[in-house]
Amino acid sequence: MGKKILLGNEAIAYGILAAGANLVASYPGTPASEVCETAMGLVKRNGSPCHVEWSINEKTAVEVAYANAIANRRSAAIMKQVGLNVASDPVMSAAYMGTSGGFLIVVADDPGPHSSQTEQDTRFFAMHAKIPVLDPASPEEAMRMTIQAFAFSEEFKTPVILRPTTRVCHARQLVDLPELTVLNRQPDFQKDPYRWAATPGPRLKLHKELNAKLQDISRHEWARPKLLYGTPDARIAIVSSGVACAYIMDVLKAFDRWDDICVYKVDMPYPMDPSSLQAIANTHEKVLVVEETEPVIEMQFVNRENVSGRLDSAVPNAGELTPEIVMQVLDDVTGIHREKEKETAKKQRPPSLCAGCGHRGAFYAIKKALPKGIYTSDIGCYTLGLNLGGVDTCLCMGAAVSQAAGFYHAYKDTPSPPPIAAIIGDSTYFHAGIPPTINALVTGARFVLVILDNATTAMTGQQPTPATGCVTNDYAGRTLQLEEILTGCGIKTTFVHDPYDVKGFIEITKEAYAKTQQEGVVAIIARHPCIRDRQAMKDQASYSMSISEECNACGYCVTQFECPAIELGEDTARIDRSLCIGCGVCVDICPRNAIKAEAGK
Amino acid sequence: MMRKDMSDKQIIMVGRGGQGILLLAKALAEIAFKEGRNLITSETHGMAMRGGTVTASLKIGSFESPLIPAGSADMLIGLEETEARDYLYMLKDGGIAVVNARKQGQFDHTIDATGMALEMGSPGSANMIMLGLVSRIMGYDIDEVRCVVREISPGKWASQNIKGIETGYNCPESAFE
Repeated sequence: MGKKILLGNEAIAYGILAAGANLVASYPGTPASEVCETAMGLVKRNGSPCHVEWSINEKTAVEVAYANAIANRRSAAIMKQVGLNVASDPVMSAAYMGTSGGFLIVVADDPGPHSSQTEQDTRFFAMHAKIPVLDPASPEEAMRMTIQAFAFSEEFKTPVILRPTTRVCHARQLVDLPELTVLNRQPDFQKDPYRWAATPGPRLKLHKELNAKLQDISRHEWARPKLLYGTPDARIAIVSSGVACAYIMDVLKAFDRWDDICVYKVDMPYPMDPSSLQAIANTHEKVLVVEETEPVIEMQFVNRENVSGRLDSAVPNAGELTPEIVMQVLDDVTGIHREKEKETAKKQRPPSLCAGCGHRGAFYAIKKALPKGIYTSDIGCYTLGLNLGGVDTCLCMGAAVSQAAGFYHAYKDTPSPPPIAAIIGDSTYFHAGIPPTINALVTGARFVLVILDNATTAMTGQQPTPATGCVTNDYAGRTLQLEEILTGCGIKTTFVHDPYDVKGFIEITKEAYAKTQQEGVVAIIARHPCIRDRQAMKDQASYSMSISEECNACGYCVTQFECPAIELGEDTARIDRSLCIGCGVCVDICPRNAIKAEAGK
Repeated sequence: MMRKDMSDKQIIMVGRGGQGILLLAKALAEIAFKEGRNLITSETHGMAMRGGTVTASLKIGSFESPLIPAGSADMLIGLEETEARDYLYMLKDGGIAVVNARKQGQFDHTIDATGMALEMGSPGSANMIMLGLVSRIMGYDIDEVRCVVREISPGKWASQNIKGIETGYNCPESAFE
């Protein structure tokens, strides 16, 4: 089918469809989002009989995909690493029960972290769950492993995890496009309640069966490190996997200064063949394990006398590996002392909410209406509300709501409890906000629940939500609106307001807070479409903004409103015309009324 | 016609989220592909794309990994001068910096792409103006660049983007010295 440049995530999607998957389910999350997006696009374009869905959350995605797999068809569930935490319940059990059709769980890790709360290593999770895990080094390899993983999953009747990292997901590479196929396999769920509905007794049997399965798998060729560079008589052996291995290969080629070393690559970091690891340790004087992010391969060496890595800090035990770190580590292990390379300290400009983002007005209004409040928030673009002092906490998906309740209970018996606002995005609310809302209501918590509704999953690249519809390729029927859900959860009052009207939003927030005394949880839906949606942006009024002479450079707009299109000079603030979208919201912010908006841009 | 340069090339791109660095990187990758070269790139997605520092790298030749080691880049393309200055350490000795900045003479090639884009009436086109200039410096055929940009631009943005690369490609030498 020819060659094409594919993003790692696109390559994985091609792999899934080349293996004939009949069902793909995912919840968006960087760095994994483009896998499902690409699969959705390909399936729509080709009209393939494959069901692709943006599930409401990762747990649901795994459960939907798993049922299709145990009906003897092929399934993929895709998520980021913290999404696997959400999906851990079904994943742990699925390992015991096994599968009949191929079941691939793609979990993208984010060493760094670049766009995540943790640097957790899914290979560790795989070990914990007793599921084989593959660690691709490049987009091309990710695609190849994806295709092979389905057959492997069926051969050993086990789910398989593919663990790409950010640098694989978001690398582009030339790949040979595979032929996309759809397995013509009728669903065939073989009833076996002692497996698929096992109670604790039979689970013990399943656990023993799983252990035996893992024994078999550890004899597979993937379970043995393969020699990629150098010879077995080298003094030092580097054992590596994933993109770290690719860095090593590139620096070995580019800088010819390390002698007497060889490199082994591990394709499947769990389960491994312990004897082949021991053979490496016995053959070479020194072994250095270079892997991201935790010492998963390293810990599988039973005797670690001459083995180094993250456990003895030969490799830094936090943060992403880079070519520079890999070079340093190679220098250290081979005893090369070099002067420090050129300055590599870099200042990273922190991200901020887009100019014209509706969330900004909402945060500003909440601060004004509920001063000295506690603002619990959540995962999404709007976490960036912390730049303007509108976010006090961000724990994990859905925690805005439960933490608001927790703070209420912590402070309720104090003389003057602070006002509390839970601030959460629309997609995040669907994902994990509903149970804690019910929980808060039935436990008597009092707070204002603000749902920032921009009608999309914005941070990860504009995926649909249950309210917008179009979450699958093959159904365009019902949608579910936030108002319906809030009512169903028992919320008595829900205000809906556009946060572009900051003054109005302040008043509504005060009113909502007053009502919490009687009603417990009172909701406000802050509704303004994401301005990254080009149509929405075109449809809204745009003003020509300027700063008048009344400006005395007090900086209030910059610290309290923090729009990237307003920069502070020595004597005056300035509008950056290349960033300003002319939303006009800042007019209401300036204490001296120095910001002017003229109709028509 | 110029003889094609078939040596290994490592290009680091840096700017702020929203400036269109991904499209720039994608275009350069596709051009390299059309020239028959092997390549691997790396991009920034997610949180950082909201106005934060964004980098992309393109390695043309027989590379296996996506990141460029410090002090190894043949070229740095800066869409923003502050960021570009912070990343100069990525250049090897003799590597060149091509940067979008208002004041001339700060880098090997300094061009006011933002100013030119505003003049064109499309403030978002600075990335394409930079692509045009880089294509000229790299000795790429403008028709090939046009063709790639048309292929990868989302729908109605193609003609705007092509205008951008032409502006950058054809700008007088005094504009980027």
